[in-house]
Amino acid sequence: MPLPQDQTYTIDYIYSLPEGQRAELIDGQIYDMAPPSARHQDIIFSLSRKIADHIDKKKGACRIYLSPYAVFLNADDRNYVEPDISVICDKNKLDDRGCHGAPDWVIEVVSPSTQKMDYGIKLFKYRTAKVREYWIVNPMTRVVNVYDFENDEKTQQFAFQDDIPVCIDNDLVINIEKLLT
Amino acid sequence: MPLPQKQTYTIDYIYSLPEGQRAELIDGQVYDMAPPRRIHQELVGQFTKVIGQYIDVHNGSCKIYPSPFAVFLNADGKNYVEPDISVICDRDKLDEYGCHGAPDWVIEVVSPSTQKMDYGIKLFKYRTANVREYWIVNPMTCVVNVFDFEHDEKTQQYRFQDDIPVCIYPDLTINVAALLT
Repeated sequence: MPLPQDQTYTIDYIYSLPEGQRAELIDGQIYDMAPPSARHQDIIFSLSRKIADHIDKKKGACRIYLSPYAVFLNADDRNYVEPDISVICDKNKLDDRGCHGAPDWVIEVVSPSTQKMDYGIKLFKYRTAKVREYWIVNPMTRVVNVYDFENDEKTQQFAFQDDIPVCIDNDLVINIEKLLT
Repeated sequence: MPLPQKQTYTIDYIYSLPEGQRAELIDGQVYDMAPPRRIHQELVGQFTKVIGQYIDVHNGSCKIYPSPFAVFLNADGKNYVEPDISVICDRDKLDEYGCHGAPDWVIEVVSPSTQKMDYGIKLFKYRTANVREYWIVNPMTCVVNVFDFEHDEKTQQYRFQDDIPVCIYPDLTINVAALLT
């Protein structure tokens, strides 16, 4: 999926793309983004509603943003991603353009074309950038990989029908199957 | 699962354990190993058979070793693991004790107690040590995560009933469901 490229790019390239065309930038390499499927959007909507309700109820300080939302992952000009869901608890990272630095919690919903990004390139970038928790939700296998980057203890794979505990918030448990019915 | 510990250990500690007691060592930290379950051993046996047959038929130079087999991952004194399956193609890494340096292909079969090791701590250690390919086989979710550390392209999640292509052997695919029938 990366374009054939010898040179490296900066965020200027992302902002110069024609209206409606999306791409991500990782270590100066461009990765085009395909339009998401209905199933993909269903899961994002259901998950974000559940998380937002929880934050509201707790009067929490964290904010949740859905894709397309700009995350300047390393607060440099060579890394720009649009995670499916970003939960950010430090308001100082936020401005009009998006989030500068790592979100606390990132969720990616896998599409056939994003597997190597979500399970590979982004997994290692998110960890290095100090994202505290990363979920990879796969509608094809009906499995969620939870990465507890902050403490390592809760890193585990779950099925959609499991009650999945959220690492960064002990009061929140999410059952994907129940969300989708 | 790590023992409560402030100090770091070396491989001498592993070799001083009482007969029959197993542990791994990662960056000087000791991780005890529980005895495996039946499904775990069944999978390890089947993978060893099918990969071993492939190597034999192709007169390949790689060797396959099921656990318990000693891998001195970074060829230092602080990292000792026993992967469920190790495929090693460089005979110079092998001696009477085990493998010194990274295997080419590692497979771990997940048990309830090894999740955070297989999906977390070992994932990142194997990648950094330049293991070329890493499979995490999960009999609870019936899912396999394939990590193509060498090229990134084939990193993907599969179901047991899929024909899973092996990254380091372009003409080998493995169907885990078929192995178990």
